[in-house]
Amino acid sequence: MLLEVSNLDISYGEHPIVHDVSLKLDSGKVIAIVGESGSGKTTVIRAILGCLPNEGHVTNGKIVFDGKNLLENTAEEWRKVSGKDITMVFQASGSMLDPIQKIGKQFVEYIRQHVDVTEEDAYQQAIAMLKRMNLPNPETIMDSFPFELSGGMNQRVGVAMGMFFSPRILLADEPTSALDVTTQAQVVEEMMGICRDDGTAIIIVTHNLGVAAYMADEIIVMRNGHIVERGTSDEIVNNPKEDYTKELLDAVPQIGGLAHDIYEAG
Amino acid sequence: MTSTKLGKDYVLNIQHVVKKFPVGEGKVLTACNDVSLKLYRGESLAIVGESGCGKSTLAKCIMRLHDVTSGSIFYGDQDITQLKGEDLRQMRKHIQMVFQDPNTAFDPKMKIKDIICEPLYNFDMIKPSEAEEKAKEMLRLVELPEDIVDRYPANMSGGQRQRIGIARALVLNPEVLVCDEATSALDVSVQKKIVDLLLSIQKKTNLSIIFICHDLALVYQMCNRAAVMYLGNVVEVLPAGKLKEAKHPYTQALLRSVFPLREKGTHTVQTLEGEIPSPVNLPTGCPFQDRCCECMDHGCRETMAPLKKQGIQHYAACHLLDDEVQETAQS
Repeated sequence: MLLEVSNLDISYGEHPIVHDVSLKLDSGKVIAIVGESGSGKTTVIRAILGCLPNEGHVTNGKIVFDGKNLLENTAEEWRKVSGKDITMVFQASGSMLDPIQKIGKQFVEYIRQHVDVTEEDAYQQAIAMLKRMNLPNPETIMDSFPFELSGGMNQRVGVAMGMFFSPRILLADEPTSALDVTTQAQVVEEMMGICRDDGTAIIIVTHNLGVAAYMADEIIVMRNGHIVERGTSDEIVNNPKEDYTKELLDAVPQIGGLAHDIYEAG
Repeated sequence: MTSTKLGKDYVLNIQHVVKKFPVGEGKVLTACNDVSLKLYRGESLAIVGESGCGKSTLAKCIMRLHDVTSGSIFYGDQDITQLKGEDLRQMRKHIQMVFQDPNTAFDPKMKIKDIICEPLYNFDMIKPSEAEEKAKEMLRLVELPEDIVDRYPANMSGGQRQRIGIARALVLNPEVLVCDEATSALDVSVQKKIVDLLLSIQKKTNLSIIFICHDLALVYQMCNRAAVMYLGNVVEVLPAGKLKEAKHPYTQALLRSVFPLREKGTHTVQTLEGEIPSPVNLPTGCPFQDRCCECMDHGCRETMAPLKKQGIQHYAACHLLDDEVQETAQS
């Protein structure tokens, strides 16, 4: 078992936010956590990376990665794990990147934080990674500031950075929510492709049930900090048990769904 | 099933609208390039496309938040692009807008009743003593509890705020409602409720809605017609329920990018290569030429194809397509 989260409770200050969440993840598998805003889905994956906001803290439970409880990590141990073995792709990578430094400088700095290579080597490896993600003109991208790139391009740079060390676990927080359908398809395909090649496990948090159904082996539905239902993506989508899951699925607009207005005039 | 008959009765007639922005160094960004569209009475017309395709710019031209570079937009027999001063102000009563982000669309220090009634105050159509009653009436229309009139937008959820945005836009009883990504920031379940609300109001009041959106599935389910924009050009207009029969390669590519919920395996998601090109210094010829898998020697690189009739209410601008209906009419 790569990652085992058991009976996790998380509070912000005095307020309990997440209640009794457990999940198990094997290499190469994808779990999607779906739910509305405020359901606690982002809080769960932030806890796994040890980056809860100031007020947040885990009050109960364990997060065991590779046989070690991450909650007992020292700051130094966290620094080694996060960004290398466990990485995260954020919702808006454009605002995760430093606005006053070029992409290249940030990418090289990130690589050299974790491995001992020369700047030139790191630069070449970063270029190779961008090429692997099918990004056009990687040299131009490395020489750009984040604001010079489109949202989709920034997001793909964020994914490229998250995938760079072939992490054991990739945590993705709404990685495609801010993107157009075409760019969304590109980013999803790139994430899936690299995970197939490297055996990376993914936990994706999303409210796009179509993306969740496409990517995930298991879907976890959350509401108000509780797990409402879990199952294989096929079970959840085609045979949901809980009313809330059915409601959520019914709300997703689909092409080819309901009958439509008829036009008679020419 | 509702059946909408579309006749000659249109509320807005957008003709050859061009909007260019100077971007310095003598360069020009073309956001809308010769857009012609009609909005029929009581219909919901979707404008879809990727970010940067000019759909919001077009909405802002309709709202007169931007001045067009050339072209005209007729509301009745009035060209609203030429209106000035008091005439322009009076026209605004008829065309109202709901914004994308309900969290930033209101003055946080105004009470709900003042937010909803402000348009009426602006046109001297209400006395302060009547405001509370009017606000309650509008809240009933958008299915919110009446007792929130004295509250502030900060203590409401995103869905509730978007309903207030709709109430504010409808308080003047406009004929046209422009929704710029009005549901994109909301959860799917909330989105469904807002869309249902808009459609039920439309049924009651025969409102015409321009619905700017990038979610094709939502457009399929709620709109009557869809106009697909690419790089400032309208490349296809078709009945939204017939999206699957789209002819233009770009619309087809958009459809292939959607992740379906239940048809896993039967539908392969294909990605469209590359990025939308820069709208600065548009290429000559078809705007989609560099990403189109069917782009060939049909004049794609030389000229922009005109919109050709493909069926009832269905037009597409592609060199690969013939003007089917007219040809059969001639032969």
